[in-house]
Amino acid sequence: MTISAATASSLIDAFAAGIVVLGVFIAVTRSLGRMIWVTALQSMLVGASAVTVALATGIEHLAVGGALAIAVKGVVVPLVLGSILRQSSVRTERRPIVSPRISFLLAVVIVFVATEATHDVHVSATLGATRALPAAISTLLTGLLIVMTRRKTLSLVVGLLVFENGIALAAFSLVYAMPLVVELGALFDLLIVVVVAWVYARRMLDVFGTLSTDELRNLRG
Amino acid sequence: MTELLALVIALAPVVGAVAAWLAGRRGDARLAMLVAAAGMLAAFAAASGLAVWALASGPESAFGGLVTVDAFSAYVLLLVAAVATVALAASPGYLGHVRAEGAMPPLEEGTYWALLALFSGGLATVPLVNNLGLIWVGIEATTVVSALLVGFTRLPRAIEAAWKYLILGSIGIGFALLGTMLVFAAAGTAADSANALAWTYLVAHGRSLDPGLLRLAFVFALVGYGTKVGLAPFHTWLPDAHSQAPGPISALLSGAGLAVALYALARFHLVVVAALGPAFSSTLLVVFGLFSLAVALPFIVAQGDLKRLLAYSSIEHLGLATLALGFGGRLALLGFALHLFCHGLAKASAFVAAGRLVEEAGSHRIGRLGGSLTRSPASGRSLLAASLLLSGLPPSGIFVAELAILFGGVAAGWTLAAGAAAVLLALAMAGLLFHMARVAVGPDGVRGARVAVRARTALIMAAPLAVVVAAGLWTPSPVSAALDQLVAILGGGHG
Repeated sequence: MTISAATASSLIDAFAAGIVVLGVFIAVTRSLGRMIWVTALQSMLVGASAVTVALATGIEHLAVGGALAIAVKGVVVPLVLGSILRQSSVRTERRPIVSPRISFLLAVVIVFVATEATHDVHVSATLGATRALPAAISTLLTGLLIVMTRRKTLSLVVGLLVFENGIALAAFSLVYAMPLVVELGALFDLLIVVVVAWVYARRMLDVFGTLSTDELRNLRG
Repeated sequence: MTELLALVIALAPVVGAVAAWLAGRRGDARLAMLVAAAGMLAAFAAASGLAVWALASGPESAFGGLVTVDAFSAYVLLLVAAVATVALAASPGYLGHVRAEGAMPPLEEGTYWALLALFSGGLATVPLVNNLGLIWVGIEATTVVSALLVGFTRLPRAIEAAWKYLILGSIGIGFALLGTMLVFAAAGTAADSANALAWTYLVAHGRSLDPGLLRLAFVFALVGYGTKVGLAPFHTWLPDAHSQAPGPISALLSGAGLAVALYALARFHLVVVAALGPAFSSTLLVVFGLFSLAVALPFIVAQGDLKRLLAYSSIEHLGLATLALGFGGRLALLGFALHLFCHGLAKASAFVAAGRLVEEAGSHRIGRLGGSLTRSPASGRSLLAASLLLSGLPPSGIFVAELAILFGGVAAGWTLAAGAAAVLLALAMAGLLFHMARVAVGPDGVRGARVAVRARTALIMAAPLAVVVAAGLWTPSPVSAALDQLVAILGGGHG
């Protein structure tokens, strides 16, 4: 099955818009469960854009990469995070470092800045999907925003995943001919990072009895 | 032959790690140690052999160019093999101490050996691969494995340090991936996808790369790998991770891990120099190198924790190495080569000794460790000697290297930066020696029985220091020929 470049680029633009909107939502919501599942949805959209590019260009390994991204980041990782969440008593980000209203404002500013900043950058090897690059950069920055403004361990992992989604969007839709071994390596590494984060989250539950990084204030200077 | 050696370097530690883990599960800690050590030593022997061969007979490549070992790769291979051997040799002593405290079941020892093998194997694989994407995969893999080792003790502070390392390291390394992808995009459609990330191809075809994308790529790589190198302001994880990890792991992180990350950044730098000339990336390296020196200084002077002191000293030294790379020119690059190697060995020895002192006294505080020369003579003497070398006093390779870097900077026209670096180095030397003198002979340490160590343990700490001293006094002709090759590569035709 193939699709034309024009269809593909409008599809990718639509996915990119969805990815950005979901990113803003993740940055604003305070429910950890909602964060996890919306991030899963966002990861699936990233995987879907990869599959779209594969269909339009005939690069088969990209479809493999996209399918793996959907399976790993869309299903396995959220299940792992969900299991940590069930073991902990924390359900919401009660006191984020900035309020949801300010988070929303910052996330919107990020989208505008990313769009403006990438206005003049032209990447030759694209399908003409003009929204993918600004969407990738703003998703990446939204991930950073989440990591910087949250206190709960799980929120930080989610922020990291959003950040990685931005990078993956750039990888799949802009420089889509990256060798398969690099893509697989990147995906595999991500999976390991989440597993290690899971290991440490469990240890934190054991040692500190909480999933809040408020306890992590001993190392200074 | 190159194929075989490369496979041994990449796979022997993995095999050793799996075997060690299985042995640990069966409750046989001694067997775990033996199989892991066998895997690691096989890899280090292969790495040294391959490196020497490549230095003697020119760049070696295998697997259709996917593995390429030039003088720079060979240099890093030798550095990793040397430092990892020290970490390996110091590990039984560390585990013995933990066992004496009664804390660790054999399963944990098996895990320790498995992770150590994976970590050092990963470090040795990075310089082998001629592909910026696979270099990234290797560095990310070592980050994750070493994060597990940092939190190995499961003490609250170690978990905190490992957590910060994992999150900040992953974000940093994410930026490096973006930089790698932008290099790929900069190569455009002219290159086929197999060699568009090969540094040999990119350096040879620098002129055909898209300059705008390449600049952007270097900035992301600088932030990404700079985080792993410990360049300020991306260094905040480093003092935590390097101070909370077990002693041998700190040695490997500081002595080899940082150098491998700098190697990755340097490969980007060489591509950018080939494409755009030295001005752009060199200036950035000088700025961030100098900034790291400046940021590390107050934390060295006002430090109260022995292992954090050594960690900030690593930030200072890697800042200096980055600065040297940015200076360019034959003299500064010779300094770079000598410096990175000597720092790796001296810092490995210092961390092993500091780790022993800290475990014996049960405290990281400099104020509680005074009088180590009489309480624990072998470790105390090694730490003092390592500190004298690290502070840049002669006779040592570090002294010669620092002079070469500073004069090289002046010769290359970076007079102001070299002058500022000289002042910062002098102040850092005073700070480091003040604290280390207190640890050596200070009156305020904990009281305890005199600690005797086996000759083997003393040798593990003293041997690397002997090499560092020798490097400052004498350069055998094969070494100087190897250094010439290395400088020719690092100079990128502009040296």
